[in-house]
Parts: sequence; structure tokens; C-alpha cells
Amino acid sequence: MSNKVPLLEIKDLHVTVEGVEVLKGVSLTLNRGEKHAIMGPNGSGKSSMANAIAGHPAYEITSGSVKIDGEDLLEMDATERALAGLFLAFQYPMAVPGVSVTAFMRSAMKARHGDSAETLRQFRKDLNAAFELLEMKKEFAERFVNDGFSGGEKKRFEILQMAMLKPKVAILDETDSGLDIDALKIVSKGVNAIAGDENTALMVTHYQRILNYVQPDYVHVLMDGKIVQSGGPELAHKLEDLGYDWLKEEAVAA
Amino acid sequence: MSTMNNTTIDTRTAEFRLPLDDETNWLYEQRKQAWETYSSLPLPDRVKHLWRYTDPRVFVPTEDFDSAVITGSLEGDLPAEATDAGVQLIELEEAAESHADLLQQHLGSLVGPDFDTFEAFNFAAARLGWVLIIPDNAEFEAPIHLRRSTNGGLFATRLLVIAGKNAEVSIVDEYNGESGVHGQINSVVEVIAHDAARVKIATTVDLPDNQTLFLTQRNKIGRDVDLQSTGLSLNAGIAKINWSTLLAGRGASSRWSGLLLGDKEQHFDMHTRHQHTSGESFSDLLYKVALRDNSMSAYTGLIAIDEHAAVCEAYQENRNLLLSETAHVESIPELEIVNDDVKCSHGVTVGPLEEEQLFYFESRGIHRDEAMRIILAGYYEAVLERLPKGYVETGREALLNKLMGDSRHGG
Ligand SMILES: Nc1ncnc2c1ncn2[C@@H]1O[C@H](COP(=O)(O)OP(=O)(O)O)[C@@H](O)[C@H]1O
Ligand SMILES: [Mg+2]
Repeated sequence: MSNKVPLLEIKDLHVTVEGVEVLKGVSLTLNRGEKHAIMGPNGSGKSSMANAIAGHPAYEITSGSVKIDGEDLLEMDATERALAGLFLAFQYPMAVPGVSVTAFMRSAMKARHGDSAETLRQFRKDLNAAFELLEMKKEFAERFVNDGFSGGEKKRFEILQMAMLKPKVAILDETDSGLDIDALKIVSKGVNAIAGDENTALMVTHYQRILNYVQPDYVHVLMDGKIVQSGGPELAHKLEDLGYDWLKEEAVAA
Repeated sequence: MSTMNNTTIDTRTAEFRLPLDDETNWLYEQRKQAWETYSSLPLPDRVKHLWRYTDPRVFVPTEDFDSAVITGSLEGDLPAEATDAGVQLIELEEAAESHADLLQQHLGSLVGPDFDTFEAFNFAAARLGWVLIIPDNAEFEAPIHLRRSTNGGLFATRLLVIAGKNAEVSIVDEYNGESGVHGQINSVVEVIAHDAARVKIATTVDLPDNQTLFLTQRNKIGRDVDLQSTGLSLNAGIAKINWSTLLAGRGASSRWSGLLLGDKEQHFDMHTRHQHTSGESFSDLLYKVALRDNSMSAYTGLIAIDEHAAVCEAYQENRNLLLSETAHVESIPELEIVNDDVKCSHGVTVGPLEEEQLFYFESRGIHRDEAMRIILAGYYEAVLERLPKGYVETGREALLNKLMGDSRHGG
């Protein structure tokens, strides 16, 4: 098909953290309507890639380019990237004591849609709908952001934010880890409801568990800062059966 | 709401006079003595630990105050509920006549003329101030609202609060002023809470950058008293606050929650002291500070537990956020505990805003400045939520104004 619309184009991305190169030339294109998965063992550089793209100051991009919907992402600061349609669901979301879930979401929505009475009405409606989608209790609205949340609550709240912010490009970093099966189903339902024909999602995981619920179109394997293999959903199953060792051997042999 | 029926004591001013021969009331002799004490005492010694961080000369009247006209304003709101409950808010000079016995017993009983130099000055010079008398068993929710400001020059003022047994009262004690007016405030507050009283006091300092505050407050609380104090240090050029509670009855409980948001060249020197002289008493203290620009916070916090005060609990926590490279914090916890049977902890943290927290906001499309404001407001929330009912929103708004940088005090 020739009518592919690239929403995120990563070319030869190199990233250094604390003086160590952790991404060593990653290229990846996410087109509108596609779901991708990046798998790889712990320490292979998955979170570094996600954080560098989102603009985390600790991750220095030393070379390469990233475009979001045709625009140069690396020219933008972290806030501008988010406003351009990028969203990162964090592996370890930060607690913000004293700031309620509602206040936090409201300021994120204000940054996009302004502060009119109309946007406030819409905000309330959207927030209620997002609470229902993720099967979260209303009391959550007044709790402080990630403060004392269980692991599963944090992940649900990340996806709730994604539902509210309606990103063009969503990167979900280990959103499945630490979830029991019920929570995993709820989170997956959320992701499926939000990631559709108009946007694209990149699921970062080292298990293939979530991929049983959110079907990826493409699976890539990241090892030691490089993508060593790409394929369809069947690649995830192969990894589950065989682990990552056969890829290491292949990489060495090559 | 009862605001419609408030009794307001008009804003008014009075001139400072030295104790004059034509003063006839009993206070005259005491003021004269205080004046002599003040004149004979040297300035506080900077080697003394409470003066290590602040130069006492800034609190000396800038003019020769023998001749200076020293004025200030008082404004007090007594909610109708309080009046109905028999509460009396009486100006100092009037109370010296009408409640001579009570004042002779209590005025200066906690902060007397021999306390120290500036307290002696206060005793001699304070003409404007109040005596607030809450009868036994009186109970009401709406806060009694007191506002004080200088009209220029040095303003000496006092407040004496006497809360009767089993009374319940909320007080808001504000120091504020118009920008442009240079001035100094010297204030003494004494709070005596009798058995089982429940007292909430919010003290707000919101002065222009060219004004200083010297405040000494002593609270003495009896058996089963619950004292909840909040301190909002929002703005001032230089403020030195010496706050202390004496837990003098079994089951007494005192909690102080304070915040400071300093900027520019502002200098805040805070001392707190929880002194347990009775067993089974409880104290807790939380001081949250954030500093911008070249501002400075010095905090010394003492927990003292006497030999005979067993089974006490005392906690103290001071957190400091440095929002600029040139802001400066000193924080010194002090313990004088002469009893083994106590639970006690204290902690100090100093650091910048967490970069990870800021990034979390930015990654949601929120600009860095806005993120800082929201995080700071959240940081202070633990203090704001402890303000007396009926003052929470006012306090929060005043803080937000300062956070937004559009404080009334400009500069
Ligand atoms: N903030 C950081 N500070 C120091 N080292 C880091 C940081 N983030 C990642 N690293 C290092 O970079 C490498 C890749 O880590 P990471 O991207 O977290 O891998 P993954 O998400 O695939 O488990 C690891 O060696 C890790 O220790
Ligand atoms: Mg990771």
C-alpha cells in the first residue's frame, strides 16, 4: 500500500546516558493506524529510547533524526513534543504529592484547549468517560497523582491520561509489567479503545503477555542498543518459546 | 455565613508615646520599667544562637524614636457567632482600664519586659493591640480576623489571647501592609489556653519588601488543650519569628504547620520551640520552605522534654526546596530531652525541585513554569489544608498570588 502516513520516523538514533551509548543507531517508522511492539531483554535500551524521544534531559541524542507527523521532533522541548501529539506512558510514573489527579489532568488539558467554561464542561465529561473506560473509582479524581498508588493503579492512570490527551503517537513503556490478569485486561481494553486508525502506538515490553490482548502489526527486537530483528506478531511467540538467546547467537554469527 | 453581622473595630491609628507622666493607669509603672530595661540592655549578642543569622540592628528604630511618631493600624473582625458566645475583643488601652485585674495577671506573663531587648521595647512602646477573651465553653467556627500594619516607622503591637476552659476558637492574625511604605513591626503575642480548650491560630506575614517584622509569640497550653497553629510566611523584607509553645498540662497537644515562599533578597529567620513540661503531651511540627532568587531561610527548631514529662511524643520536620543556585538555607534541629520514655523524631531535607517530577508534567504538555507552580502548590498543600476553616481559600489564594509572581508588593 502506498498511502502509508508516517507519524513517527526514527532514523539512525544514537543516545548516550551518563556518558555511555545505550542506543547505537535505531531506525523505525510508525505509520498511522499501526501498532508496533519493541521487545528486548532488560537493559537493552528500550526505556532509554522512549525517554530520549520524549525529551528527558538525562538522555542525550548524539546523532540521528526523529520526526513526528513530518515535523522535526528534536527541535522541540519536552512540552512542545507532547503538544505535537507525543505521549509516553512511563514505566515508573512519578508521584506528585499535594496535586490531585483532577488538577493535573485539567492543567494538561488547559495547555491544549485553553481555559473556557466550554472546555471545562468537556473536560469533566471526558474525565468521567476515561474513568469508566479504565474502571477506576470516582474517588481517584481527588487522590494525589501516583501518591501511594499501587503498581496497577499507576499503569491505569497512565492509560487514563492517554485516553484524555488523545496522542498521535503513544509509546507505552512496560505498561503490562506488574499488572495482574484483571488489570492487564482493563489496561489492554483501554489501549485498544484509544489506539486506532488515526494514531499509532509503540508498546515496549520484555514479555509478550500484553501482546495477547493488544495485537501488534509489527514486532521488533532490541538488543544492546540495536534492532536485531523485525517481523510480524509471530515473532513475539517465537521469543516466548525460545527466549532471546538464539538472537544473540545470530547476532554473533552475523 | 455570619459576615453580615460582624463587629468591626475600625481601622485606626494611634501615636506612639513614651510612658508619660500623665498616664494614670497601672500600666504606666510597668511600661516605664520596661523602657528602662530596654534602654539598659545591649543589642542581642550575635554569638547567641538565635541571632546567628540575623543582624539585630535591622529591628532598631531607624529614627530616634524618642521623638518619632510611631503609628500603626488595627483592624479586627469579630464574627456574630463569637459575639453571641460572649467573646470580647478589646483594645489594649481600654482593656487596661476595664480588665485591669486580668491584665495584671496575664499581660507579660509569657513575654515580659525582661524577656530580651526588643521584647522590652515592645512592652514599653506597644499602645495598639488587643486582648481577646474567650469565655469557658464558648464554641464557634468562623475565625476572628485580626489585621495589623504599620503606617511607616516602627509599629509596636501586642496581642493577648485568653481561651477559657473547654472553649473552641479560630483566630487569623495577619500582618500586612501597603507597598511603598517603609516600616518595621515589632509584635508580641501571648496565648494562654486553659484546660481542654481547642484553639486554632493562623499567622500570616504578607509585608512589602521594604518592611521588617520582629515577632515573639509564646503559647502556654493546659491539660488536654489542642492547639493548632499555622504560619504562612508569604512576603517581607526581613522577618524574625520566635514561636514557642509550652505544653504545661497532661494530654496537651500542639501542632505547628508553616510554610515560607521567599524570593528576591528576602530574609526569614524562624525559631520554633516545643517545650513539654507535662507528661503524655504531643507535639508535631512541619515547616515547608521554598526559596527563589537570593532569598534566605534560617530555621532553628527546638524540642525540649523535661525530666518529669514522660510518655511524650514530639515530631519535627523541615523541608526546603532551593529554586535557585543563590538561595540559601540553614536548618538546625535541636533536642533537649531529659526523659527516656518519649517518642521523638526530627528531619531536615534540602534540595532542588525534582527534575523527574518536572519532566512528568512537561511530557503531558504542561510548560515548565506552570509545572513548577503546580508542584509547589502541591508541596504546600499539607500546610494549607490545616488552616482554620473559613480561611483555607484565602490562604491558598494568597500563596498562589505569590507563586504567580504578581504579589501586591511588586519589586
Ligand atoms: N537514567 C539513567 N542513568 C544511568 N543509566 C541509565 C539510565 N537509564 C538507563 N540507563 C542504562 O542504560 C542501559 C539501558 O537501560 P534501559 O533503557 O532502561 O533498558 P530497558 O528499558 O531495555 O530495560 C542500562 O545499562 C541502564 O543501566
Ligand atoms: Mg525499561
